[in-house]
Amino acid sequence: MTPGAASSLVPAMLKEYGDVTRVALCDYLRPREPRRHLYSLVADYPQRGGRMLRSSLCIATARAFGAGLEDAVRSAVAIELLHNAFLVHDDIEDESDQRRGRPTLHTLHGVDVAVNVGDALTLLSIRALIDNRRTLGERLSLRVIEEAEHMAQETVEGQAIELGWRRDNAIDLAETDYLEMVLKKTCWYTTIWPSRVGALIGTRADRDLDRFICFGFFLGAAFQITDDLLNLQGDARRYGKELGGDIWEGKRTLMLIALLQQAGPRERARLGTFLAQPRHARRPGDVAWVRKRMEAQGCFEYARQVAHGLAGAARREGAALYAALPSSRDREFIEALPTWVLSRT
Amino acid sequence: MNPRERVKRPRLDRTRPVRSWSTLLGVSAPTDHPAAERGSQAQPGDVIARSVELGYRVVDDYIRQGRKAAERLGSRSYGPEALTGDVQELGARMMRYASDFMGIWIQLMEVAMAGGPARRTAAPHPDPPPAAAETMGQGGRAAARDEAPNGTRAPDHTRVRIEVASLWPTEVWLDLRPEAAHVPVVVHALRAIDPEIPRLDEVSFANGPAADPPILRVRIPPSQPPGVYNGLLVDRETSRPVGTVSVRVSRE
Repeated sequence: MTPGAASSLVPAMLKEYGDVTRVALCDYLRPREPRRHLYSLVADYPQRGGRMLRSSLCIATARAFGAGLEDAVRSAVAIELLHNAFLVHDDIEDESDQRRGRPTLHTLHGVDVAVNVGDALTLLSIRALIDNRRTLGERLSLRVIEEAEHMAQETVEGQAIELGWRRDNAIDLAETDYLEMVLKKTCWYTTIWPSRVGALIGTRADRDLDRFICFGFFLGAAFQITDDLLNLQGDARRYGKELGGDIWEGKRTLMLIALLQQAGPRERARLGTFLAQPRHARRPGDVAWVRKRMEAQGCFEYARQVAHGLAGAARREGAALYAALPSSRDREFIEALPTWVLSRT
Repeated sequence: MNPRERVKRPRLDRTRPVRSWSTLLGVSAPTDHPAAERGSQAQPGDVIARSVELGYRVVDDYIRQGRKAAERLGSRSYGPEALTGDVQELGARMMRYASDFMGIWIQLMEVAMAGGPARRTAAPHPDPPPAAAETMGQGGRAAARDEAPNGTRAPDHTRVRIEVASLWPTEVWLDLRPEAAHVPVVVHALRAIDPEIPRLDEVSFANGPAADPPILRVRIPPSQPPGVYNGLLVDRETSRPVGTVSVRVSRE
Protein backbone atom coordinates (compact mmCIF):
# COMPACT_ATOMS: atom_id res chain seq x y z
CA MET A 1 0.00 0.00 0.00
CA THR A 2 1.52 3.27 -1.09
CA PRO A 3 1.13 6.47 0.95
CA GLY A 4 -0.86 7.89 -1.97
CA ALA A 5 -3.35 5.06 -1.88
CA ALA A 6 -3.63 5.35 1.90
CA SER A 7 -4.21 9.08 1.67
CA SER A 8 -7.12 8.70 -0.74
CA LEU A 9 -8.73 5.37 0.13
CA VAL A 10 -8.70 5.70 3.92
CA PRO A 11 -10.40 9.13 4.10
CA ALA A 12 -12.97 7.99 1.54
CA MET A 13 -13.80 4.84 3.50
CA LEU A 14 -13.83 6.71 6.81
CA LYS A 15 -16.37 9.09 5.33
CA GLU A 16 -18.46 6.32 3.81
CA TYR A 17 -18.65 4.14 6.92
CA GLY A 18 -18.65 7.17 9.19
CA ASP A 19 -21.78 8.46 7.44
CA VAL A 20 -23.47 5.07 7.79
CA THR A 21 -22.62 5.01 11.48
CA ARG A 22 -23.82 8.58 12.03
CA VAL A 23 -27.20 7.77 10.49
CA ALA A 24 -27.58 4.73 12.75
CA LEU A 25 -26.32 6.79 15.67
CA CYS A 26 -29.34 9.08 15.30
CA ASP A 27 -31.58 6.26 16.55
CA TYR A 28 -29.85 6.54 19.91
CA LEU A 29 -29.54 10.32 20.10
CA ARG A 30 -33.13 11.33 19.51
CA PRO A 31 -34.05 14.48 21.45
CA ARG A 32 -36.28 13.75 24.42
CA GLU A 33 -36.78 14.93 27.96
CA PRO A 34 -34.89 15.86 30.00
CA ARG A 35 -33.18 17.71 27.16
CA ARG A 36 -31.49 20.69 28.73
CA HIS A 37 -29.26 18.85 31.14
CA LEU A 38 -29.04 15.47 29.44
CA TYR A 39 -30.17 14.48 25.96
CA SER A 40 -29.16 17.65 24.14
CA LEU A 41 -25.75 17.31 25.75
CA VAL A 42 -25.51 13.58 25.03
CA ALA A 43 -25.63 14.44 21.34
CA ASP A 44 -23.03 17.22 21.66
CA TYR A 45 -19.72 15.35 21.24
CA PRO A 46 -21.01 12.91 18.58
CA GLN A 47 -22.30 15.88 16.57
CA ARG A 48 -18.94 17.62 16.69
CA GLY A 49 -17.57 15.12 14.19
CA GLY A 50 -14.57 12.91 14.64
CA ARG A 51 -12.67 10.55 12.41
CA MET A 52 -14.98 7.54 12.97
CA LEU A 53 -11.92 5.29 12.84
CA ARG A 54 -13.23 2.78 15.35
CA SER A 55 -16.63 2.30 13.76
CA SER A 56 -15.15 2.17 10.26
CA LEU A 57 -12.59 -0.44 11.26
CA CYS A 58 -15.32 -2.56 12.83
CA ILE A 59 -17.53 -2.41 9.74
CA ALA A 60 -14.65 -2.92 7.30
CA THR A 61 -13.34 -5.94 9.20
CA ALA A 62 -16.77 -7.53 9.35
CA ARG A 63 -17.31 -6.96 5.64
CA ALA A 64 -13.84 -8.16 4.73
CA PHE A 65 -14.76 -11.43 6.43
CA GLY A 66 -18.04 -11.66 4.54
CA ALA A 67 -20.64 -9.98 6.74
CA GLY A 68 -23.22 -7.51 5.49
CA LEU A 69 -23.17 -3.86 6.47
CA GLU A 70 -26.28 -4.26 8.61
CA ASP A 71 -24.58 -7.01 10.63
CA ALA A 72 -21.88 -4.65 11.91
CA VAL A 73 -23.48 -1.24 12.13
CA ARG A 74 -24.93 -1.58 15.67
CA SER A 75 -21.54 -2.61 17.02
CA ALA A 76 -20.02 0.36 15.17
CA VAL A 77 -22.58 2.66 16.81
CA ALA A 78 -21.83 1.13 20.21
CA ILE A 79 -18.11 1.80 19.96
CA GLU A 80 -18.68 5.39 18.87
CA LEU A 81 -21.05 6.00 21.79
CA LEU A 82 -18.61 4.44 24.22
CA HIS A 83 -15.75 6.43 22.69
CA ASN A 84 -17.66 9.65 23.28
CA ALA A 85 -18.48 8.56 26.83
CA PHE A 86 -14.77 8.03 27.47
CA LEU A 87 -13.97 11.44 25.96
CA VAL A 88 -16.41 13.24 28.26
CA HIS A 89 -14.95 11.57 31.34
CA ASP A 90 -11.34 11.82 30.13
CA ASP A 91 -11.73 15.55 29.57
CA ILE A 92 -12.78 15.93 33.20
CA GLU A 93 -9.99 13.70 34.51
CA ASP A 94 -7.40 15.46 32.34
CA GLU A 95 -8.84 18.93 33.01
CA SER A 96 -8.90 19.51 29.25
CA ASP A 97 -10.25 22.76 27.87
CA GLN A 98 -11.01 21.86 24.26
CA ARG A 99 -12.44 18.94 22.36
CA ARG A 100 -12.94 18.87 18.60
CA GLY A 101 -12.42 22.59 18.29
CA ARG A 102 -14.85 23.67 21.02
CA PRO A 103 -14.81 23.95 24.80
CA THR A 104 -15.12 20.64 26.60
CA LEU A 105 -18.48 19.60 27.96
CA HIS A 106 -17.58 20.07 31.61
CA THR A 107 -16.24 23.58 31.03
CA LEU A 108 -19.54 24.47 29.33
CA HIS A 109 -21.97 22.75 31.70
CA GLY A 110 -20.09 21.79 34.87
CA VAL A 111 -18.45 18.59 36.03
CA ASP A 112 -21.58 17.13 37.62
CA VAL A 113 -23.67 17.41 34.47
CA ALA A 114 -20.83 16.18 32.26
CA VAL A 115 -20.24 13.07 34.37
CA ASN A 116 -23.91 12.22 34.04
CA VAL A 117 -23.81 12.76 30.26
CA GLY A 118 -20.84 10.38 30.04
CA ASP A 119 -22.78 7.78 32.02
CA ALA A 120 -25.75 8.17 29.67
CA LEU A 121 -23.54 7.66 26.62
CA THR A 122 -22.19 4.46 28.17
CA LEU A 123 -25.71 3.16 28.75
CA LEU A 124 -26.73 4.02 25.21
CA SER A 125 -23.79 2.02 23.89
CA ILE A 126 -25.07 -1.00 25.83
CA ARG A 127 -28.48 -0.51 24.23
CA ALA A 128 -26.89 -0.57 20.77
CA LEU A 129 -25.12 -3.84 21.63
CA ILE A 130 -28.37 -5.37 22.86
CA ASP A 131 -30.05 -4.30 19.61
CA ASN A 132 -27.54 -6.49 17.79
CA ARG A 133 -29.90 -9.38 18.54
CA ARG A 134 -32.07 -8.36 15.60
CA THR A 135 -29.34 -9.08 13.08
CA LEU A 136 -26.84 -11.32 14.86
CA GLY A 137 -29.03 -13.51 17.03
CA GLU A 138 -28.76 -14.15 20.74
CA ARG A 139 -25.54 -16.10 20.90
CA LEU A 140 -23.37 -13.88 18.72
CA SER A 141 -24.80 -10.75 20.31
CA LEU A 142 -23.83 -12.08 23.72
CA ARG A 143 -20.30 -12.74 22.47
CA VAL A 144 -20.04 -9.16 21.19
CA ILE A 145 -21.25 -7.88 24.56
CA GLU A 146 -18.67 -10.05 26.33
CA GLU A 147 -15.99 -8.58 24.07
CA ALA A 148 -17.25 -5.08 24.86
CA GLU A 149 -17.20 -5.71 28.59
CA HIS A 150 -13.64 -6.95 28.35
CA MET A 151 -12.59 -4.01 26.19
CA ALA A 152 -14.12 -1.51 28.62
CA GLN A 153 -12.34 -3.20 31.49
CA GLU A 154 -8.98 -2.98 29.71
CA THR A 155 -9.61 0.67 28.88
CA VAL A 156 -10.43 1.76 32.41
CA GLU A 157 -7.42 -0.19 33.69
CA GLY A 158 -5.21 1.67 31.22
CA GLN A 159 -6.72 4.97 32.27
CA ALA A 160 -6.10 4.06 35.92
CA ILE A 161 -2.44 3.35 35.17
CA GLU A 162 -2.02 6.73 33.51
CA LEU A 163 -3.90 8.61 36.22
CA GLY A 164 -1.79 6.80 38.81
CA TRP A 165 1.39 7.98 37.13
CA ARG A 166 0.21 11.56 37.41
CA ARG A 167 -1.12 11.16 40.94
CA ASP A 168 2.15 9.58 42.12
CA ASN A 169 4.26 11.89 39.95
CA ALA A 170 6.05 8.96 38.29
CA ILE A 171 9.22 10.13 36.55
CA ASP A 172 11.13 6.87 36.17
CA LEU A 173 9.04 5.25 33.48
CA ALA A 174 10.39 3.09 30.66
CA GLU A 175 9.08 2.68 27.14
CA THR A 176 7.66 -0.72 28.00
CA ASP A 177 5.57 0.91 30.75
CA TYR A 178 4.24 3.34 28.18
CA LEU A 179 3.44 0.60 25.65
CA GLU A 180 1.66 -1.51 28.27
CA MET A 181 -0.45 1.48 29.26
CA VAL A 182 -1.26 2.36 25.65
CA LEU A 183 -2.17 -1.26 24.88
CA LYS A 184 -4.85 -1.09 27.53
CA LYS A 185 -5.95 2.52 27.42
CA THR A 186 -5.97 3.21 23.69
CA CYS A 187 -5.47 0.09 21.61
CA TRP A 188 -8.18 -2.09 23.05
CA TYR A 189 -11.04 0.22 22.23
CA THR A 190 -9.55 1.97 19.22
CA THR A 191 -8.28 -0.93 17.14
CA ILE A 192 -8.33 -4.30 18.95
CA TRP A 193 -12.03 -4.42 19.81
CA PRO A 194 -13.23 -3.16 16.41
CA SER A 195 -11.03 -5.76 14.68
CA ARG A 196 -12.00 -8.64 16.97
CA VAL A 197 -15.70 -7.88 16.85
CA GLY A 198 -15.61 -7.34 13.10
CA ALA A 199 -13.98 -10.73 12.66
CA LEU A 200 -16.40 -12.32 15.10
CA ILE A 201 -19.37 -10.97 13.15
CA GLY A 202 -17.85 -11.83 9.78
CA THR A 203 -16.81 -15.39 10.59
CA ARG A 204 -19.45 -16.21 13.22
CA ALA A 205 -16.70 -18.02 15.08
CA ASP A 206 -14.32 -16.87 17.79
CA ARG A 207 -11.22 -18.59 16.54
CA ASP A 208 -7.79 -17.02 16.78
CA LEU A 209 -9.06 -13.67 17.99
CA ASP A 210 -5.78 -13.21 19.86
CA ARG A 211 -4.11 -12.49 16.53
CA PHE A 212 -6.08 -9.28 16.34
CA ILE A 213 -4.47 -8.14 19.57
CA CYS A 214 -1.08 -7.96 17.84
CA PHE A 215 -2.38 -6.09 14.82
CA GLY A 216 -4.53 -3.79 16.92
CA PHE A 217 -1.77 -3.10 19.40
CA PHE A 218 0.79 -2.02 16.80
CA LEU A 219 -1.74 0.01 14.86
CA GLY A 220 -3.20 1.62 17.99
CA ALA A 221 0.19 2.42 19.51
CA ALA A 222 1.39 4.06 16.28
CA PHE A 223 -1.91 5.99 16.22
CA GLN A 224 -1.51 7.18 19.83
CA ILE A 225 2.11 8.28 19.44
CA THR A 226 1.23 10.19 16.29
CA ASP A 227 -1.70 11.78 18.12
CA ASP A 228 0.59 12.83 20.95
CA LEU A 229 3.02 14.33 18.44
CA LEU A 230 0.17 16.26 16.83
CA ASN A 231 -0.69 17.62 20.27
CA LEU A 232 2.71 19.26 20.36
CA GLN A 233 3.42 19.96 16.73
CA GLY A 234 0.11 19.86 14.88
CA ASP A 235 -2.01 22.45 13.20
CA ALA A 236 -4.16 24.00 15.94
CA ARG A 237 -7.22 24.38 13.71
CA ARG A 238 -7.13 20.81 12.42
CA TYR A 239 -6.12 19.16 15.66
CA GLY A 240 -9.18 20.36 17.54
CA LYS A 241 -7.60 20.21 20.98
CA GLU A 242 -5.42 22.60 22.86
CA LEU A 243 -1.90 22.45 21.38
CA GLY A 244 0.59 21.54 24.07
CA GLY A 245 -2.29 20.39 26.24
CA ASP A 246 -0.52 17.14 27.08
CA ILE A 247 2.31 19.09 28.72
CA TRP A 248 -0.14 21.25 30.62
CA GLU A 249 -1.81 18.06 31.84
CA GLY A 250 1.48 16.35 32.72
CA LYS A 251 0.55 13.45 30.46
CA ARG A 252 3.27 10.79 30.32
CA THR A 253 3.75 10.70 26.58
CA LEU A 254 6.59 8.86 24.89
CA MET A 255 8.30 12.21 24.32
CA LEU A 256 8.12 13.12 28.00
CA ILE A 257 9.37 9.69 29.06
CA ALA A 258 12.30 10.02 26.63
CA LEU A 259 13.07 13.49 27.95
CA LEU A 260 13.02 12.27 31.56
CA GLN A 261 15.37 9.42 30.64
CA GLN A 262 17.84 11.76 29.01
CA ALA A 263 17.70 14.55 31.57
CA GLY A 264 20.58 15.20 33.90
CA PRO A 265 20.01 15.66 37.64
CA ARG A 266 19.17 19.37 37.50
CA GLU A 267 16.87 19.11 34.53
CA ARG A 268 15.21 16.02 35.94
CA ALA A 269 14.59 17.78 39.24
CA ARG A 270 13.02 20.73 37.44
CA LEU A 271 10.83 18.41 35.40
CA GLY A 272 9.81 16.55 38.55
CA THR A 273 8.82 19.78 40.26
CA PHE A 274 6.86 20.92 37.22
CA LEU A 275 5.01 17.62 36.96
CA ALA A 276 4.22 17.53 40.67
CA GLN A 277 2.21 20.76 40.39
CA PRO A 278 -1.50 20.75 39.74
CA ARG A 279 -2.42 21.97 36.29
CA HIS A 280 -3.60 25.38 37.39
CA ALA A 281 -0.26 26.06 39.10
CA ARG A 282 1.82 25.37 35.99
CA ARG A 283 3.09 28.44 34.18
CA PRO A 284 3.22 29.02 30.41
CA GLY A 285 6.96 29.61 30.61
CA ASP A 286 7.54 26.19 32.15
CA VAL A 287 5.33 24.49 29.56
CA ALA A 288 7.27 26.21 26.79
CA TRP A 289 10.55 25.11 28.42
CA VAL A 290 9.46 21.44 28.52
CA ARG A 291 8.46 21.59 24.88
CA LYS A 292 11.73 23.26 23.94
CA ARG A 293 13.78 20.64 25.78
CA MET A 294 11.85 17.86 24.02
CA GLU A 295 12.68 19.42 20.70
CA ALA A 296 16.32 20.00 21.59
CA GLN A 297 16.76 16.42 22.84
CA GLY A 298 15.30 15.01 19.64
CA CYS A 299 12.30 13.52 21.44
CA PHE A 300 9.90 14.38 18.61
CA GLU A 301 12.01 12.74 15.95
CA TYR A 302 12.62 9.79 18.21
CA ALA A 303 8.88 9.30 18.84
CA ARG A 304 8.23 9.63 15.13
CA GLN A 305 10.70 6.83 14.42
CA VAL A 306 9.12 4.63 17.05
CA ALA A 307 5.70 5.25 15.50
CA HIS A 308 7.12 4.26 12.12
CA GLY A 309 8.50 1.04 13.58
CA LEU A 310 5.21 0.14 15.21
CA ALA A 311 3.24 1.01 12.08
CA GLY A 312 5.56 -1.25 10.10
CA ALA A 313 4.84 -4.09 12.50
CA ALA A 314 1.12 -3.37 12.15
CA ARG A 315 1.47 -3.60 8.38
CA ARG A 316 3.17 -6.97 8.68
CA GLU A 317 0.62 -8.33 11.16
CA GLY A 318 -2.21 -7.02 9.00
CA ALA A 319 -0.81 -8.65 5.89
CA ALA A 320 -0.59 -12.00 7.71
CA LEU A 321 -4.13 -11.67 9.07
CA TYR A 322 -5.89 -10.67 5.90
CA ALA A 323 -3.80 -12.28 3.18
CA ALA A 324 -6.18 -15.19 2.69
CA LEU A 325 -9.22 -12.97 2.22
CA PRO A 326 -10.51 -12.07 -1.23
CA SER A 327 -9.46 -8.66 -2.50
CA SER A 328 -11.89 -5.95 -1.50
CA ARG A 329 -11.97 -2.26 -0.66
CA ASP A 330 -12.45 -3.22 2.96
CA ARG A 331 -9.31 -5.29 3.01
CA GLU A 332 -7.37 -2.54 1.24
CA PHE A 333 -8.68 -0.01 3.74
CA ILE A 334 -7.55 -2.09 6.72
CA GLU A 335 -4.15 -2.73 5.18
CA ALA A 336 -3.74 0.99 4.45
CA LEU A 337 -4.45 2.11 8.01
CA PRO A 338 -0.86 1.75 9.32
CA THR A 339 0.36 4.09 6.59
CA TRP A 340 -2.52 6.49 7.17
CA VAL A 341 -1.98 6.85 10.92
CA LEU A 342 1.51 8.15 10.24
CA SER A 343 0.37 10.65 7.65
CA ARG A 344 -2.29 12.36 9.76
CA THR A 345 -1.89 16.09 10.20
CA MET B 1 50.41 -1.27 34.20
CA ASN B 2 51.74 -4.38 35.85
CA PRO B 3 51.55 -7.08 33.14
CA ARG B 4 50.44 -9.63 35.73
CA GLU B 5 47.47 -7.52 36.79
CA ARG B 6 44.17 -8.73 35.41
CA VAL B 7 42.49 -6.45 32.93
CA LYS B 8 39.09 -5.40 34.21
CA ARG B 9 36.23 -3.61 32.57
CA PRO B 10 35.38 -0.25 34.09
CA ARG B 11 32.52 -0.41 36.53
CA LEU B 12 29.20 0.35 34.82
CA ASP B 13 26.79 2.97 36.08
CA ARG B 14 23.79 0.78 35.47
CA THR B 15 22.83 -1.87 37.99
CA ARG B 16 20.35 -3.73 35.78
CA PRO B 17 19.77 -4.21 32.08
CA VAL B 18 18.70 -1.00 30.41
CA ARG B 19 15.81 -1.91 28.17
CA SER B 20 14.78 1.25 26.50
CA TRP B 21 14.95 2.73 23.07
CA SER B 22 16.81 5.70 24.39
CA THR B 23 19.90 3.59 25.04
CA LEU B 24 20.25 3.34 21.28
CA LEU B 25 20.70 7.01 20.95
CA GLY B 26 24.29 7.27 21.97
CA VAL B 27 24.20 8.91 25.37
CA SER B 28 26.04 6.90 27.97
CA ALA B 29 25.21 9.09 30.95
CA PRO B 30 22.64 11.74 31.59
CA THR B 31 23.95 15.25 31.27
CA ASP B 32 22.62 18.74 31.08
CA HIS B 33 25.24 19.74 28.55
CA PRO B 34 23.79 20.63 25.17
CA ALA B 35 26.67 18.94 23.38
CA ALA B 36 25.47 15.61 24.65
CA GLU B 37 22.06 15.93 23.09
CA ARG B 38 21.08 12.69 21.57
CA GLY B 39 18.95 13.49 18.60
CA SER B 40 21.74 13.90 16.15
CA GLN B 41 23.30 10.58 17.15
CA ALA B 42 20.19 8.48 16.65
CA GLN B 43 20.24 5.80 14.01
CA PRO B 44 16.70 5.65 12.68
CA GLY B 45 17.00 2.01 11.66
CA ASP B 46 18.09 1.04 15.16
CA VAL B 47 15.28 2.92 16.83
CA ILE B 48 12.69 1.41 14.52
CA ALA B 49 14.01 -2.14 14.98
CA ARG B 50 14.22 -1.71 18.72
CA SER B 51 10.72 -0.26 18.94
CA VAL B 52 9.32 -3.26 17.07
CA GLU B 53 11.22 -5.63 19.34
CA LEU B 54 9.93 -3.93 22.47
CA GLY B 55 6.43 -3.84 21.01
CA TYR B 56 6.43 -7.57 20.35
CA ARG B 57 7.79 -8.21 23.84
CA VAL B 58 4.97 -6.20 25.42
CA VAL B 59 2.18 -7.72 23.37
CA ASP B 60 3.54 -11.28 23.63
CA ASP B 61 3.78 -10.96 27.42
CA TYR B 62 0.26 -9.59 27.51
CA ILE B 63 -1.18 -12.43 25.45
CA ARG B 64 0.80 -15.02 27.41
CA GLN B 65 -0.54 -13.69 30.71
CA GLY B 66 -4.06 -13.68 29.33
CA ARG B 67 -3.75 -17.27 28.21
CA LYS B 68 -2.40 -18.34 31.58
CA ALA B 69 -5.34 -16.67 33.27
CA ALA B 70 -7.71 -18.41 30.87
CA GLU B 71 -6.03 -21.77 31.54
CA ARG B 72 -6.45 -21.27 35.26
CA LEU B 73 -10.14 -20.83 34.59
CA GLY B 74 -10.19 -24.05 32.60
CA SER B 75 -10.62 -22.52 29.19
CA ARG B 76 -8.48 -22.75 26.12
CA SER B 77 -9.33 -19.28 24.97
CA TYR B 78 -7.85 -15.97 26.03
CA GLY B 79 -10.99 -13.96 25.65
CA PRO B 80 -13.66 -13.07 28.15
CA GLU B 81 -15.83 -15.77 26.67
CA ALA B 82 -14.06 -18.04 29.14
CA LEU B 83 -15.93 -16.29 31.90
CA THR B 84 -19.46 -16.93 30.76
CA GLY B 85 -21.69 -18.58 33.27
CA ASP B 86 -24.14 -20.03 30.83
CA VAL B 87 -23.93 -23.76 31.32
CA GLN B 88 -25.45 -24.61 27.97
CA GLU B 89 -23.06 -22.28 26.23
CA LEU B 90 -20.12 -23.78 28.07
CA GLY B 91 -21.24 -27.28 27.16
CA ALA B 92 -21.44 -26.40 23.49
CA ARG B 93 -18.07 -24.72 23.65
CA MET B 94 -16.44 -27.65 25.37
CA MET B 95 -17.76 -29.90 22.66
CA ARG B 96 -16.38 -27.62 20.02
CA TYR B 97 -13.01 -27.38 21.68
CA ALA B 98 -12.83 -31.14 22.01
CA SER B 99 -13.59 -31.49 18.35
CA ASP B 100 -10.95 -28.85 17.56
CA PHE B 101 -8.41 -30.96 19.30
CA MET B 102 -9.42 -34.07 17.45
CA GLY B 103 -9.18 -32.30 14.17
CA ILE B 104 -12.76 -32.75 13.11
CA TRP B 105 -14.05 -29.23 13.33
CA ILE B 106 -14.86 -28.48 9.79
CA GLN B 107 -15.20 -25.22 8.00
CA LEU B 108 -16.14 -25.23 4.37
CA MET B 109 -14.43 -22.28 2.79
CA GLU B 110 -15.02 -22.81 -0.86
CA VAL B 111 -18.05 -23.72 -2.83
CA ALA B 112 -18.55 -24.43 -6.45
CA MET B 113 -20.95 -22.74 -8.77
CA ALA B 114 -23.24 -25.38 -10.17
CA GLY B 115 -21.75 -26.26 -13.54
CA GLY B 116 -19.12 -23.58 -13.20
CA PRO B 117 -15.65 -23.17 -11.75
CA ALA B 118 -15.06 -23.29 -8.03
CA ARG B 119 -14.94 -19.96 -6.29
CA ARG B 120 -14.18 -18.66 -2.88
CA THR B 121 -16.83 -17.94 -0.31
CA ALA B 122 -17.16 -14.43 0.96
CA ALA B 123 -15.58 -15.21 4.28
CA PRO B 124 -12.64 -17.57 4.40
CA HIS B 125 -10.70 -17.49 7.64
CA PRO B 126 -7.12 -16.23 7.30
CA ASP B 127 -5.82 -19.20 9.17
CA PRO B 128 -7.87 -22.18 8.10
CA PRO B 129 -8.70 -24.61 10.87
CA PRO B 130 -6.98 -27.98 10.80
CA ALA B 131 -9.87 -29.78 9.20
CA ALA B 132 -10.97 -27.09 6.80
CA ALA B 133 -12.69 -28.59 3.83
CA GLU B 134 -11.35 -28.30 0.31
CA THR B 135 -13.23 -28.04 -2.93
CA MET B 136 -12.92 -31.20 -4.94
CA GLY B 137 -14.19 -30.10 -8.29
CA GLN B 138 -16.99 -28.45 -10.18
CA GLY B 139 -19.76 -30.40 -8.60
CA GLY B 140 -19.57 -28.62 -5.32
CA ARG B 141 -18.08 -31.59 -3.52
CA ALA B 142 -15.71 -31.17 -0.65
CA ALA B 143 -13.93 -33.45 1.76
CA ALA B 144 -12.31 -32.75 5.09
CA ARG B 145 -8.58 -33.04 5.43
CA ASP B 146 -7.65 -35.55 8.05
CA GLU B 147 -4.75 -33.74 9.63
CA ALA B 148 -4.52 -32.97 13.31
CA PRO B 149 -3.32 -29.51 14.40
CA ASN B 150 0.22 -30.71 14.91
CA GLY B 151 0.43 -31.99 11.37
CA THR B 152 0.12 -35.67 12.25
CA ARG B 153 -2.63 -37.71 10.72
CA ALA B 154 -5.67 -38.01 12.90
CA PRO B 155 -7.43 -41.35 13.28
CA ASP B 156 -9.72 -42.24 10.37
CA HIS B 157 -12.86 -42.07 12.44
CA THR B 158 -12.39 -38.30 12.70
CA ARG B 159 -12.81 -37.77 8.97
CA VAL B 160 -16.03 -36.43 7.51
CA ARG B 161 -16.85 -35.83 3.88
CA ILE B 162 -18.95 -32.79 3.02
CA GLU B 163 -20.84 -32.35 -0.20
CA VAL B 164 -22.40 -28.98 -0.96
CA ALA B 165 -24.54 -27.98 -3.91
CA SER B 166 -25.29 -24.29 -3.97
CA LEU B 167 -25.58 -21.38 -6.35
CA TRP B 168 -24.64 -19.06 -3.54
CA PRO B 169 -21.47 -18.66 -1.48
CA THR B 170 -21.99 -21.05 1.38
CA GLU B 171 -20.08 -21.95 4.50
CA VAL B 172 -20.61 -25.05 6.55
CA TRP B 173 -19.48 -25.58 10.13
CA LEU B 174 -19.69 -29.03 11.64
CA ASP B 175 -19.08 -29.64 15.32
CA LEU B 176 -19.00 -33.37 15.91
CA ARG B 177 -18.28 -35.58 18.85
CA PRO B 178 -15.83 -38.39 18.05
CA GLU B 179 -18.38 -41.11 18.78
CA ALA B 180 -20.61 -39.79 16.00
CA ALA B 181 -18.61 -41.76 13.46
CA HIS B 182 -19.74 -45.03 15.05
CA VAL B 183 -23.43 -44.42 15.60
CA PRO B 184 -26.32 -43.95 13.19
CA VAL B 185 -26.77 -40.21 12.92
CA VAL B 186 -29.70 -38.23 11.68
CA VAL B 187 -29.81 -34.50 11.02
CA HIS B 188 -33.06 -32.59 11.01
CA ALA B 189 -33.91 -29.58 8.90
CA LEU B 190 -31.78 -26.55 9.71
CA ARG B 191 -33.51 -23.46 11.02
CA ALA B 192 -32.75 -19.77 11.03
CA ILE B 193 -33.37 -17.69 14.13
CA ASP B 194 -36.25 -15.92 12.41
CA PRO B 195 -39.12 -18.43 12.33
CA GLU B 196 -40.50 -16.75 9.20
CA ILE B 197 -37.51 -17.86 7.15
CA PRO B 198 -38.08 -21.25 5.51
CA ARG B 199 -36.09 -24.16 6.85
CA LEU B 200 -33.20 -25.71 5.03
CA ASP B 201 -34.55 -29.19 4.42
CA GLU B 202 -32.08 -30.81 2.08
CA VAL B 203 -29.45 -31.78 4.60
CA SER B 204 -28.47 -35.35 5.36
CA PHE B 205 -25.79 -37.21 7.25
CA ALA B 206 -24.96 -40.73 6.12
CA ASN B 207 -22.56 -43.21 7.63
CA GLY B 208 -20.68 -44.73 4.75
CA PRO B 209 -19.20 -48.22 4.46
CA ALA B 210 -16.75 -49.14 7.20
CA ALA B 211 -13.67 -47.86 5.37
CA ASP B 212 -15.23 -44.58 4.26
CA PRO B 213 -15.92 -41.47 6.31
CA PRO B 214 -19.49 -40.38 6.95
CA ILE B 215 -20.92 -37.87 4.49
CA LEU B 216 -22.72 -34.63 5.25
CA ARG B 217 -24.73 -33.50 2.23
CA VAL B 218 -26.13 -29.99 1.97
CA ARG B 219 -28.14 -28.63 -0.95
CA ILE B 220 -29.10 -24.97 -0.97
CA PRO B 221 -32.22 -24.25 -3.06
CA PRO B 222 -31.72 -21.19 -5.30
CA SER B 223 -34.58 -19.42 -3.53
CA GLN B 224 -33.18 -19.97 -0.03
CA PRO B 225 -32.88 -16.59 1.75
CA PRO B 226 -29.40 -15.62 2.95
CA GLY B 227 -28.67 -16.23 6.60
CA VAL B 228 -27.35 -18.70 9.11
CA TYR B 229 -29.15 -22.00 9.59
CA ASN B 230 -28.46 -24.30 12.50
CA GLY B 231 -29.37 -27.84 13.41
CA LEU B 232 -28.50 -30.77 15.62
CA LEU B 233 -26.96 -34.09 14.70
CA VAL B 234 -28.69 -36.75 16.75
CA ASP B 235 -27.84 -40.36 17.54
CA ARG B 236 -30.80 -42.19 15.99
CA GLU B 237 -30.74 -44.92 18.64
CA THR B 238 -30.40 -42.88 21.80
CA SER B 239 -31.83 -39.55 20.54
CA ARG B 240 -28.91 -37.79 22.15
CA PRO B 241 -27.16 -34.95 20.31
CA VAL B 242 -23.76 -35.81 18.93
CA GLY B 243 -23.01 -32.56 17.15
CA THR B 244 -24.22 -29.41 15.48
CA VAL B 245 -24.18 -28.17 11.94
CA SER B 246 -24.36 -24.54 10.86
CA VAL B 247 -24.76 -23.35 7.30
CA ARG B 248 -24.31 -19.77 6.26
CA VAL B 249 -25.72 -18.67 2.92
CA SER B 250 -24.54 -15.34 1.49
CA ARG B 251 -25.51 -13.25 -1.50
CA GLU B 252 -22.26 -11.28 -1.87
